Amino acid sequence: MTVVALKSDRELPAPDALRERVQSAVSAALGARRDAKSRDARKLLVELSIEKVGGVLRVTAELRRRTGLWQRIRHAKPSSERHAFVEAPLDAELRALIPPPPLVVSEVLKLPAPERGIVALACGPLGHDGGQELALVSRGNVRVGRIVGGAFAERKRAAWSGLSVVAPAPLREPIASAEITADGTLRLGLTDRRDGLVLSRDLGVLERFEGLLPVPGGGCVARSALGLAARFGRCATSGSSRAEPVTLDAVAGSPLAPLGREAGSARLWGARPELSQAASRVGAQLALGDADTDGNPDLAYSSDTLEPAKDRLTFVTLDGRKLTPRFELPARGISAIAICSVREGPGMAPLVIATGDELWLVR
Amino acid sequence: MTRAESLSRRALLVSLATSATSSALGRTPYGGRLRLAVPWPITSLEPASLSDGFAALFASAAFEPLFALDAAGNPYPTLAEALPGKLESGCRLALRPGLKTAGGRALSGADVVATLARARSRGAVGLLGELDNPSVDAKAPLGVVFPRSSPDAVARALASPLLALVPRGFSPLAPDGCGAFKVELGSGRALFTRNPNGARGASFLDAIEVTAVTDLAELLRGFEAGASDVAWFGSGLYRAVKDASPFESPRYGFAVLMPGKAAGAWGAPGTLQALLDAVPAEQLSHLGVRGLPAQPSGSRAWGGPPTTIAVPSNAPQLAAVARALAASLSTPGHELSVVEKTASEIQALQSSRQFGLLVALVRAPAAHPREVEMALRTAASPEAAKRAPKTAPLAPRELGRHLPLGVVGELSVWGTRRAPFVNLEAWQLGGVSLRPPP
Repeated sequence: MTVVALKSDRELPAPDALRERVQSAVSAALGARRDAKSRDARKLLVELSIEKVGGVLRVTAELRRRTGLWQRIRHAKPSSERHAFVEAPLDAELRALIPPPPLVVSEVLKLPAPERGIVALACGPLGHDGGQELALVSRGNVRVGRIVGGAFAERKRAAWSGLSVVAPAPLREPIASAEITADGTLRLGLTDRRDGLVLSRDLGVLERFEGLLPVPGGGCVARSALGLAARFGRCATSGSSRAEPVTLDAVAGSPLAPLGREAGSARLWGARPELSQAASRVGAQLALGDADTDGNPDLAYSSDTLEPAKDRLTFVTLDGRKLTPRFELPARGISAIAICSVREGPGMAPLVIATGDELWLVR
Repeated sequence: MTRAESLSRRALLVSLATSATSSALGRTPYGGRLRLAVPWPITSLEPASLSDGFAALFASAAFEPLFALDAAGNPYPTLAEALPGKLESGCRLALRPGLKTAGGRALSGADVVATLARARSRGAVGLLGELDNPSVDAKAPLGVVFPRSSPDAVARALASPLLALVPRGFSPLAPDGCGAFKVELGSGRALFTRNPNGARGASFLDAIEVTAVTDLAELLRGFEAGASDVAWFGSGLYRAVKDASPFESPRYGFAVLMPGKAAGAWGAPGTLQALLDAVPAEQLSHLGVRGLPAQPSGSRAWGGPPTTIAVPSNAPQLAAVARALAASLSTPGHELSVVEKTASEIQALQSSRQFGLLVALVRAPAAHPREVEMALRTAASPEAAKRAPKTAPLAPRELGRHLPLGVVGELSVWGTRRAPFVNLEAWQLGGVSLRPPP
């Protein structure tokens, strides 16, 4: 077995160690079969090509017959008899060999939003074609599409009126959530509407949660009089109307942790210990993700101000003990934020911000 | 997206446009209590009234119509599930499911039918003139069928605040609607508190306390003394108040001069308007009246018989306007004097028309010129209003030249507010909020 190529979109501190680790992992996987057919196996060669792209590692394996002396003289390369490919996200072990990218802003692409008043955003691969898409939720529509050539190219749109009836008592200022899940569906909710929803790639309704708002990362919260009840639970109408002492007016989450913003105090609320230690007030636009795939969730939030000119995006990492500040970006009147679930290059995963009539792609 | 879809994009854009902070950042805070005094008696809250100043100011806080008009004058659904759908003959609409009043009463199509029936006998008589009586859809309790009317005519008519939805058996003495606030009436005061069942969202403020005053000076004195958060027609009686901002709400009505039988030939259409157009603006502007002619024209000499100008008691602004008009229009041998009457006396006078002149309020239920014209026509003659011409709407003073009433001027809430109260200018009270201290 040999590693014939190692490519990376970032400089690797220990490329040999990564080669050895991949080689040993593949050897271990092939070990049992090689023992069984040891004579045949000695005539075979496995060539590995390793590529690190964004937050994933891709390994291609070619199985070739070993060349004899005559073939080597002729520079003849035997054709591949078997081919295998695997792509894996960078887990904790790989992260020891491939350090995460720095959480810094190198580029902000501003493009016109298809409509004003976007209240929630989600970014990730919707469906199974592998490409990352953007979901825009306004009070009237749900749109999905991509950013192509500096513009939002809409692939599909659905009006809320066709997705859910109006809530009997909507909030005067809506609360919304949106998430593209790992299995390629779009979970979303808007307090203007009665039902939380799970939508397919083509925005068909797959599931419906009456009176509940889906929380990114899983689970739902129920409506309370002036916001959302601070209890993350299953997306099933329980019939229980237990009043929660805390009301949330924003939610965010990832499979790593759900969290919300407490309506009265404008402080973060959730089970993670660093949230209770966070002293500062946050705005009502939150997004949680893992922008550098280091295993710690990253949180993006707007400012707790009523003056659009004073608004800014703040980006922090939740490291289990405290909120570690990463960067701030002035942005007038942020109405929604998303952290894309897939890194597309050597840097962190893109962030998407809706501000007034613009979308900002932050990389 | 078609217009027939519920809560259309236009509707949502309108709602966004009227919500100053819906686009960003933190959230509009809930909480706060607004206190204000009004120069109108507080005895009841009748959404279909055209002549009640308190209703003109506060009915929209407690009641919602089934449709609303966007900036271009096109209707969109608010309490209705969608715009009315055309039937082979007539049209059909349906209420949004799950609607409840502040008192917890579930609403259905029968409530729509009852609302229209009672409004037809009140201020909406002209508005509903050509619409037929609807009936509940036998197949769906939330549905209402209009046997002959067009969908567009129904949606436009039902966008009027005069046709705000009320439950069956509604009493204006114990008002119950599905607006942003629920309301409790007391003697000369009203308390509006947040309605969690609000069909278009509960209010940001916890409460609005309203008291009636009998003296215009109290509207300023209360602000200066810290008892009120709004000063009408100024910034303080003796001194300007700190942390206050000037503001002006849209007009909510008109002061009008109406003729009775005793006015004789001087009550003919256009006559009173000609007199009022000759009154110098400075004689009325200090009373908070707006929309006065920049340059008076013609003669303001009352040439009719000596008579009285009746005016509702406990309406200090109208009384002051009546006194100013009496002083301005009277001539030797043709004197006008002011006499204050109770609400029931005014009602009796209007029925019999046994009076000389009457200063009254005509509510401007909405900003749309067509609705303003219909309100003035209905006040002048309910029967004639049913057959109002479909020509382009006229400006109020111009309309006065064709009607047996004269438009004195426009009424609006203007003056000074305490600075932390946000969005008071739009006078959509559910959207008013109290900005927290920095």
